[in-house]
Amino acid sequence: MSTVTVYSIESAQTSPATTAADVLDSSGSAWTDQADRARELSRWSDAGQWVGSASDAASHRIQSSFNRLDAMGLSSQAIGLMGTTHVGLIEVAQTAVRAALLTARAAFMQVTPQGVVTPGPAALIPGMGAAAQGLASSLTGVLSSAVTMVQTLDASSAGAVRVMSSTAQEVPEAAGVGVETIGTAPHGSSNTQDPPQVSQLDTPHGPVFVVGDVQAAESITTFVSGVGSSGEGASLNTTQWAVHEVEKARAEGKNIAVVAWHGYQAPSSIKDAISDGPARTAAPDLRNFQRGLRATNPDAHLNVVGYSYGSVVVGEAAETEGPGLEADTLRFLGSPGVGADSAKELNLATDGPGEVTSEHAPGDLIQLSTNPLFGVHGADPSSPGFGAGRGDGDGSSWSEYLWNQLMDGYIASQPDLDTHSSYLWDPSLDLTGIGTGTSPINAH
Amino acid sequence: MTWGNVLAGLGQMSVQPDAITVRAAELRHVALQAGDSATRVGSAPLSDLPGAMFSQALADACEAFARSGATLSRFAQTTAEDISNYVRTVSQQDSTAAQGMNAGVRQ
Repeated sequence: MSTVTVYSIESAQTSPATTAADVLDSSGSAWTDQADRARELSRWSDAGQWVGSASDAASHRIQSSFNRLDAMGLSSQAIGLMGTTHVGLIEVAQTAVRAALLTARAAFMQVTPQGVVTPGPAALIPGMGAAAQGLASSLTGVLSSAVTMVQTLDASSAGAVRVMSSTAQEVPEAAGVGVETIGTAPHGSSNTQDPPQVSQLDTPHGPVFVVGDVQAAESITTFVSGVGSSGEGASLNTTQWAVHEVEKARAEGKNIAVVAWHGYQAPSSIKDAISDGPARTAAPDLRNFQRGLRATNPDAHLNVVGYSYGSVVVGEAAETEGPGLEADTLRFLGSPGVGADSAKELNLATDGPGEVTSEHAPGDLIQLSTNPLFGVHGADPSSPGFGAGRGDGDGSSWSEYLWNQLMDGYIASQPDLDTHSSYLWDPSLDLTGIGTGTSPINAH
Repeated sequence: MTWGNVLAGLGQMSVQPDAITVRAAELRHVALQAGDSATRVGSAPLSDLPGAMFSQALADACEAFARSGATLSRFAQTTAEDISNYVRTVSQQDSTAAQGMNAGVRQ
């Protein structure tokens, strides 16, 4: 790295940057091609080769990884193009600087690193003083303009590259790597530990499935599902996911419990989900349930995950006017809004600082139902203005948010995708992880 | 717990193990290629252009893409292997059931 001077411009070696830009472009292009191919291969249900819940889960798991690679691929190509353009402009500046320096040296003029040229001995030659001064002024104009241009270009190009590279988010390794070595299965495979206990609590509005030992768990995650989640198939999905999460945590030496909370009458269609009525009805029951968890295990970290319309339920349960929701962290996934315009409007009953985060999968069309200012259920909780973010207070910038919206549009344009249904099976997401600081918060 | 066991827990309505095995093998191959692309990005040369910011941003981008690409590639490879294992189990169960039925018919 170097500061910008006429001499650094003169001697700049541009070929490494050109090569890096080419690599980013070609690798990005390969990722987008590979994503196309992977999506095609995972459409086994279209060919009637594999149909059912397991088929859907497997498609979602494959596609969620490749959709992220696809967005990265397009961003990588854009950075490659940006790099090539940047280098081209540096070379233009270099040509001008080299010509100006050649002239200045021929006339024995002195040049400062910032491009200020003084006539030197030429000014002492009788009859040449004014001309030398004029030439020095002209050369100064050329050189200092080149320095200013390169400084400006450096800052703006770097900013653009940082925004575009935000698609390469941190992926928690524990979320997916190592699953092949972990030990048990919900339905009878060889394992050294007993499968986690699964309890079903029947409430007036729907069942609640509790996986693991709530009394002894160091953290308890309550997952609240969305539209169409009152059917049996939905609870089978979430319960299987919960069992997997508990067993995965066990393999990492952690004792967690996961609750698949279906204790409300979820809207059965998108049309019905426009109303916040089901969420308002469900909110007191969710609050009571969380209060019960806190009373049962006051030391456990309580994490509440609201998925899709479930995030509206969680938002209503945590509304400022209410008594507060017993939770240390709230995570919104694929949210159409949470009935609040900012994270500050959510009331968490916690002794700690509380943490509100929001994320959505690349290409999730739920984003069409909300925006940074307003939406059917309020402002987009993933937007920087909402104030959700990582535990350290960071979130994405507006530029990154808008770039990722562009990537959403690109992914959503791919045929036959249902990324909104992919969250449970996305290996990039660690929904039950707490306090790692590496969750892809506010990311897409 | 392999993620493939989650698939078993979800139950399946219909699966053609041979066809899915072929698809899973190709998916694994594509995932490996994605990992190769990540490696290439990770080994892109560092630049030293005038100015402190662009060269650093380019290097950071290469590092971030390489790391995320490698992780996502591994996720996809593991999932493809889980799918292969799952359909192999289904195939074995079908085969065992068919042998049992044949034995019953012969008796």
